[in-house]
Amino acid sequence: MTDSNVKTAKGLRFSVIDFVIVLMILACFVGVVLRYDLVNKLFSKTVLTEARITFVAEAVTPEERAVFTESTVFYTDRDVFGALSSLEAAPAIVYYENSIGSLVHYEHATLLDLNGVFRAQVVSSENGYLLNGNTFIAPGSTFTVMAGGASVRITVLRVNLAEE
Amino acid sequence: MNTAPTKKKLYFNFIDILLVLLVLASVVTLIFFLRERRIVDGSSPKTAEITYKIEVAAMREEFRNLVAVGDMVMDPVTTNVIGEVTDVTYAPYYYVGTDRTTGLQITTAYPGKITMTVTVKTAAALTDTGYEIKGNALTLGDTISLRVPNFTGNGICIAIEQSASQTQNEKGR
Repeated sequence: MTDSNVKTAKGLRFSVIDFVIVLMILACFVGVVLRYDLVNKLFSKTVLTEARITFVAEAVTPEERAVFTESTVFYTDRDVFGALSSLEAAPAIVYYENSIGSLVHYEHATLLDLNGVFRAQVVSSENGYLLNGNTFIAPGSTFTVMAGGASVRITVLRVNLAEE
Repeated sequence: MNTAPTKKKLYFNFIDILLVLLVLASVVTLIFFLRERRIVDGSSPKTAEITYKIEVAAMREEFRNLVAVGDMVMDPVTTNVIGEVTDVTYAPYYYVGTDRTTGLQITTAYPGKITMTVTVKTAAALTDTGYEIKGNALTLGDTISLRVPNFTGNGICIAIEQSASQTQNEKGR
Protein backbone atom coordinates (compact mmCIF):
# COMPACT_ATOMS: atom_id res chain seq x y z
CA MET A 1 0.00 0.00 0.00
CA THR A 2 1.41 3.32 -0.96
CA ASP A 3 1.27 6.12 1.38
CA SER A 4 -1.60 8.39 0.68
CA ASN A 5 -0.66 11.69 -0.65
CA VAL A 6 -0.06 13.77 2.30
CA LYS A 7 -0.23 17.36 1.53
CA THR A 8 2.36 18.99 3.58
CA ALA A 9 1.95 22.70 3.88
CA LYS A 10 5.03 24.46 2.84
CA GLY A 11 5.46 26.49 5.98
CA LEU A 12 7.43 29.70 6.19
CA ARG A 13 10.26 28.95 8.52
CA PHE A 14 11.83 31.94 10.18
CA SER A 15 15.22 31.20 11.60
CA VAL A 16 17.52 33.09 13.94
CA ILE A 17 19.75 34.16 11.04
CA ASP A 18 16.75 35.71 9.25
CA PHE A 19 15.85 37.59 12.43
CA VAL A 20 19.40 38.96 12.73
CA ILE A 21 19.37 40.05 9.07
CA VAL A 22 16.09 41.91 9.54
CA LEU A 23 17.49 43.61 12.68
CA MET A 24 20.58 44.72 10.81
CA ILE A 25 18.55 46.14 7.92
CA LEU A 26 16.40 48.06 10.43
CA ALA A 27 19.56 49.32 12.14
CA CYS A 28 20.81 50.61 8.78
CA PHE A 29 17.60 52.57 8.23
CA VAL A 30 17.79 54.02 11.74
CA GLY A 31 21.43 54.98 11.14
CA VAL A 32 20.55 56.83 7.92
CA VAL A 33 17.72 58.69 9.66
CA LEU A 34 19.96 59.72 12.55
CA ARG A 35 22.93 60.60 10.34
CA TYR A 36 20.95 63.01 8.15
CA ASP A 37 18.75 64.26 10.98
CA LEU A 38 15.72 63.38 8.93
CA VAL A 39 13.37 63.51 11.90
CA ASN A 40 14.10 67.20 12.49
CA LYS A 41 13.97 68.01 8.79
CA LEU A 42 10.64 66.29 8.29
CA PHE A 43 8.86 67.24 11.47
CA SER A 44 10.50 70.39 12.76
CA LYS A 45 8.49 73.54 12.80
CA THR A 46 11.46 75.92 12.59
CA VAL A 47 10.73 79.09 10.74
CA LEU A 48 13.27 81.20 8.89
CA THR A 49 13.09 84.86 9.82
CA GLU A 50 14.86 87.82 8.27
CA ALA A 51 17.65 89.25 10.39
CA ARG A 52 20.09 92.14 10.13
CA ILE A 53 23.71 91.03 10.58
CA THR A 54 25.97 93.96 11.48
CA PHE A 55 29.57 93.22 10.57
CA VAL A 56 33.07 94.63 10.25
CA ALA A 57 35.73 93.68 7.71
CA GLU A 58 39.22 95.00 8.40
CA ALA A 59 42.08 95.85 6.07
CA VAL A 60 40.18 95.26 2.84
CA THR A 61 41.69 96.21 -0.52
CA PRO A 62 39.88 98.73 -2.78
CA GLU A 63 39.23 95.93 -5.29
CA GLU A 64 37.50 93.86 -2.62
CA ARG A 65 35.56 96.90 -1.43
CA ALA A 66 34.22 97.39 -4.95
CA VAL A 67 32.37 94.06 -4.69
CA PHE A 68 30.38 95.32 -1.68
CA THR A 69 27.47 96.94 -3.51
CA GLU A 70 23.96 97.18 -2.11
CA SER A 71 21.80 94.08 -2.68
CA THR A 72 24.74 91.93 -3.77
CA VAL A 73 24.27 88.40 -2.46
CA PHE A 74 27.27 86.94 -0.66
CA TYR A 75 27.97 83.27 -0.13
CA THR A 76 29.94 81.14 2.32
CA ASP A 77 31.52 77.90 1.14
CA ARG A 78 28.35 75.99 1.96
CA ASP A 79 25.38 78.30 1.54
CA VAL A 80 23.99 81.76 0.92
CA PHE A 81 25.12 84.18 3.63
CA GLY A 82 22.94 87.17 2.85
CA ALA A 83 22.43 90.28 0.77
CA LEU A 84 24.29 93.49 1.55
CA SER A 85 21.94 96.10 2.94
CA SER A 86 24.25 99.00 3.80
CA LEU A 87 27.96 99.76 3.94
CA GLU A 88 30.37 102.40 5.22
CA ALA A 89 34.02 102.36 4.29
CA ALA A 90 36.82 104.22 6.02
CA PRO A 91 40.62 104.09 5.83
CA ALA A 92 41.92 101.14 7.80
CA ILE A 93 43.35 102.07 11.20
CA VAL A 94 46.74 100.45 11.65
CA TYR A 95 48.62 100.32 14.93
CA TYR A 96 52.37 100.17 15.22
CA GLU A 97 55.01 100.49 17.92
CA ASN A 98 57.00 103.74 17.86
CA SER A 99 60.61 104.22 18.92
CA ILE A 100 59.73 104.61 22.59
CA GLY A 101 57.62 101.45 22.64
CA SER A 102 54.19 103.09 22.68
CA LEU A 103 51.35 102.07 20.43
CA VAL A 104 50.34 104.67 17.89
CA HIS A 105 47.95 104.52 14.98
CA TYR A 106 47.70 105.87 11.51
CA GLU A 107 45.29 105.61 8.60
CA HIS A 108 46.49 103.20 5.94
CA ALA A 109 46.96 104.78 2.54
CA THR A 110 45.03 102.13 0.59
CA LEU A 111 43.45 99.51 2.85
CA LEU A 112 39.91 100.04 4.14
CA ASP A 113 37.81 99.01 7.13
CA LEU A 114 34.23 98.18 6.17
CA ASN A 115 31.25 98.42 8.51
CA GLY A 116 27.91 97.26 7.16
CA VAL A 117 24.75 95.24 7.46
CA PHE A 118 23.66 92.06 5.70
CA ARG A 119 20.08 90.85 5.42
CA ALA A 120 20.02 87.13 6.11
CA GLN A 121 17.66 84.33 7.07
CA VAL A 122 17.99 82.89 10.58
CA VAL A 123 16.16 80.57 12.91
CA SER A 124 15.75 81.70 16.51
CA SER A 125 16.45 79.11 19.17
CA GLU A 126 16.92 79.20 22.93
CA ASN A 127 20.66 78.84 22.33
CA GLY A 128 20.92 81.74 19.90
CA TYR A 129 20.46 82.27 16.17
CA LEU A 130 21.13 79.75 13.43
CA LEU A 131 22.00 81.18 10.01
CA ASN A 132 19.82 79.42 7.40
CA GLY A 133 18.70 77.19 10.24
CA ASN A 134 21.98 75.30 10.42
CA THR A 135 24.97 77.51 11.36
CA PHE A 136 25.33 79.23 14.72
CA ILE A 137 25.78 82.98 14.38
CA ALA A 138 26.38 85.48 17.17
CA PRO A 139 28.58 88.51 17.86
CA GLY A 140 32.13 87.28 17.57
CA SER A 141 31.40 84.77 14.80
CA THR A 142 33.67 85.07 11.79
CA PHE A 143 32.74 84.11 8.25
CA THR A 144 34.49 84.19 4.91
CA VAL A 145 31.97 85.65 2.50
CA MET A 146 32.40 85.54 -1.24
CA ALA A 147 30.99 87.39 -4.22
CA GLY A 148 32.24 88.78 -7.53
CA GLY A 149 35.54 86.94 -7.27
CA ALA A 150 36.36 88.39 -3.85
CA SER A 151 36.66 86.53 -0.59
CA VAL A 152 36.59 88.62 2.58
CA ARG A 153 36.73 87.69 6.26
CA ILE A 154 34.03 89.42 8.31
CA THR A 155 33.37 89.56 12.04
CA VAL A 156 29.77 89.69 13.24
CA LEU A 157 29.09 92.56 15.65
CA ARG A 158 25.33 92.24 16.14
CA VAL A 159 22.43 90.04 15.10
CA ASN A 160 18.97 91.62 15.18
CA LEU A 161 15.72 90.29 13.87
CA ALA A 162 14.29 92.51 11.16
CA GLU A 163 11.13 93.26 13.13
CA GLU A 164 13.07 94.51 16.19
CA MET B 1 6.20 -1.38 2.84
CA ASN B 2 7.68 0.71 5.49
CA THR B 3 10.37 3.12 4.57
CA ALA B 4 12.83 4.27 7.14
CA PRO B 5 12.59 8.02 7.78
CA THR B 6 15.37 9.81 5.97
CA LYS B 7 17.59 11.90 8.13
CA LYS B 8 17.52 15.48 7.03
CA LYS B 9 21.03 16.60 6.28
CA LEU B 10 22.15 19.99 7.53
CA TYR B 11 23.87 21.81 4.71
CA PHE B 12 26.25 24.47 5.81
CA ASN B 13 27.43 26.42 2.81
CA PHE B 14 29.64 29.41 2.06
CA ILE B 15 26.84 31.98 2.45
CA ASP B 16 26.06 30.69 5.95
CA ILE B 17 29.72 31.06 6.89
CA LEU B 18 29.66 34.66 5.60
CA LEU B 19 26.53 35.44 7.58
CA VAL B 20 27.97 34.01 10.78
CA LEU B 21 31.16 36.05 10.28
CA LEU B 22 29.07 39.15 9.64
CA VAL B 23 27.09 38.65 12.83
CA LEU B 24 30.29 38.08 14.82
CA ALA B 25 31.85 41.24 13.36
CA SER B 26 28.74 43.26 14.22
CA VAL B 27 28.78 42.03 17.80
CA VAL B 28 32.48 42.87 18.19
CA THR B 29 31.92 46.33 16.66
CA LEU B 30 29.00 46.98 19.00
CA ILE B 31 31.03 45.99 22.05
CA PHE B 32 33.94 48.17 20.89
CA PHE B 33 31.62 51.11 20.25
CA LEU B 34 29.93 50.81 23.62
CA ARG B 35 33.26 50.55 25.43
CA GLU B 36 34.76 53.52 23.56
CA ARG B 37 31.72 55.67 24.34
CA ARG B 38 31.94 54.43 27.91
CA ILE B 39 28.36 53.26 27.85
CA VAL B 40 29.59 49.90 29.06
CA ASP B 41 32.48 50.29 31.37
CA GLY B 42 33.36 48.27 34.38
CA SER B 43 34.74 51.23 36.24
CA SER B 44 32.72 54.39 36.71
CA PRO B 45 34.95 57.50 36.63
CA LYS B 46 35.11 59.77 39.62
CA THR B 47 33.56 63.15 39.05
CA ALA B 48 33.92 66.45 40.78
CA GLU B 49 32.54 69.93 40.40
CA ILE B 50 35.18 72.29 39.06
CA THR B 51 35.37 75.90 38.07
CA TYR B 52 37.68 77.00 35.31
CA LYS B 53 38.51 80.39 33.84
CA ILE B 54 38.73 81.26 30.17
CA GLU B 55 40.60 84.41 29.22
CA VAL B 56 39.56 85.97 25.92
CA ALA B 57 42.28 88.46 25.09
CA ALA B 58 42.18 91.31 22.58
CA MET B 59 38.40 91.18 22.36
CA ARG B 60 36.54 94.01 20.64
CA GLU B 61 35.05 96.54 23.06
CA GLU B 62 31.67 96.09 21.31
CA PHE B 63 31.41 92.58 22.77
CA ARG B 64 31.40 93.77 26.38
CA ASN B 65 28.39 92.54 28.43
CA LEU B 66 27.31 89.94 25.87
CA VAL B 67 28.28 87.07 28.17
CA ALA B 68 25.99 86.90 31.20
CA VAL B 69 26.11 85.01 34.49
CA GLY B 70 23.90 81.96 34.11
CA ASP B 71 24.59 81.49 30.39
CA MET B 72 25.15 77.86 29.43
CA VAL B 73 28.49 77.42 27.68
CA MET B 74 28.50 75.09 24.69
CA ASP B 75 31.34 73.59 22.69
CA PRO B 76 30.77 75.01 19.17
CA VAL B 77 31.96 71.79 17.51
CA THR B 78 30.18 69.10 19.50
CA THR B 79 27.39 71.39 20.89
CA ASN B 80 27.89 69.68 24.25
CA VAL B 81 27.19 71.89 27.24
CA ILE B 82 30.55 72.38 28.98
CA GLY B 83 29.42 74.47 31.91
CA GLU B 84 27.56 77.44 33.28
CA VAL B 85 28.93 80.98 33.54
CA THR B 86 29.31 82.08 37.16
CA ASP B 87 31.34 85.28 36.71
CA VAL B 88 32.52 87.63 33.97
CA THR B 89 35.20 90.31 34.39
CA TYR B 90 36.78 92.80 32.03
CA ALA B 91 40.15 94.50 31.94
CA PRO B 92 41.99 96.67 29.44
CA TYR B 93 44.05 94.77 26.89
CA TYR B 94 47.65 95.92 27.06
CA TYR B 95 50.30 95.99 24.37
CA VAL B 96 53.85 95.60 25.62
CA GLY B 97 56.47 97.44 23.59
CA THR B 98 60.15 98.22 24.08
CA ASP B 99 61.73 101.65 24.34
CA ARG B 100 64.61 101.32 21.93
CA THR B 101 66.67 103.99 23.65
CA THR B 102 66.45 102.69 27.19
CA GLY B 103 65.46 99.06 26.63
CA LEU B 104 62.58 99.40 29.09
CA GLN B 105 59.24 97.69 28.45
CA ILE B 106 56.39 100.13 27.85
CA THR B 107 52.79 99.07 28.40
CA THR B 108 50.01 100.71 26.38
CA ALA B 109 46.29 100.03 26.60
CA TYR B 110 45.25 98.81 23.13
CA PRO B 111 42.50 101.12 21.85
CA GLY B 112 39.18 99.39 21.26
CA LYS B 113 40.31 96.04 22.72
CA ILE B 114 39.67 94.50 26.12
CA THR B 115 40.36 91.24 27.93
CA MET B 116 37.40 89.24 29.19
CA THR B 117 37.72 86.50 31.80
CA VAL B 118 34.81 84.08 32.05
CA THR B 119 34.46 81.75 35.05
CA VAL B 120 32.61 78.51 34.25
CA LYS B 121 31.28 75.88 36.64
CA THR B 122 30.78 72.27 35.55
CA ALA B 123 31.00 68.63 36.55
CA ALA B 124 34.16 66.98 35.28
CA ALA B 125 35.53 63.46 35.33
CA LEU B 126 38.75 63.01 37.28
CA THR B 127 41.45 61.28 35.28
CA ASP B 128 45.05 60.34 35.92
CA THR B 129 46.23 63.49 34.12
CA GLY B 130 43.60 65.94 35.29
CA TYR B 131 40.05 66.59 34.22
CA GLU B 132 37.72 65.67 31.40
CA ILE B 133 34.52 67.38 30.36
CA LYS B 134 32.21 65.29 28.16
CA GLY B 135 35.16 63.18 27.04
CA ASN B 136 37.47 66.10 26.24
CA ALA B 137 40.51 66.78 28.39
CA LEU B 138 40.71 70.17 30.11
CA THR B 139 44.26 71.43 30.60
CA LEU B 140 45.76 74.75 31.64
CA GLY B 141 46.82 76.66 28.56
CA ASP B 142 44.32 74.92 26.29
CA THR B 143 42.53 77.02 23.71
CA ILE B 144 38.83 76.75 24.41
CA SER B 145 36.13 77.73 21.95
CA LEU B 146 33.41 79.51 23.86
CA ARG B 147 29.81 79.70 22.72
CA VAL B 148 26.96 81.28 24.66
CA PRO B 149 23.66 82.47 23.17
CA ASN B 150 24.91 86.02 22.46
CA PHE B 151 28.64 85.57 21.89
CA THR B 152 31.23 83.21 20.46
CA GLY B 153 35.01 83.40 20.62
CA ASN B 154 38.23 81.66 21.59
CA GLY B 155 40.12 81.94 24.85
CA ILE B 156 42.81 80.29 26.93
CA CYS B 157 42.14 78.21 30.05
CA ILE B 158 44.07 80.08 32.74
CA ALA B 159 42.79 78.46 35.94
CA ILE B 160 41.11 75.26 37.11
CA GLU B 161 39.80 74.81 40.64
CA GLN B 162 38.17 71.71 42.06
CA SER B 163 35.36 72.61 44.42
CA ALA B 164 35.17 69.41 46.48
CA SER B 165 38.72 69.00 47.72
CA GLN B 166 39.75 72.66 47.34
CA THR B 167 42.60 71.56 45.10
CA GLN B 168 43.85 74.55 43.15
CA ASN B 169 45.78 74.60 39.90
CA GLU B 170 46.59 78.04 38.55
CA LYS B 171 48.84 79.03 35.77
CA GLY B 172 50.96 81.61 37.58
CA ARG B 173 48.00 83.68 38.70
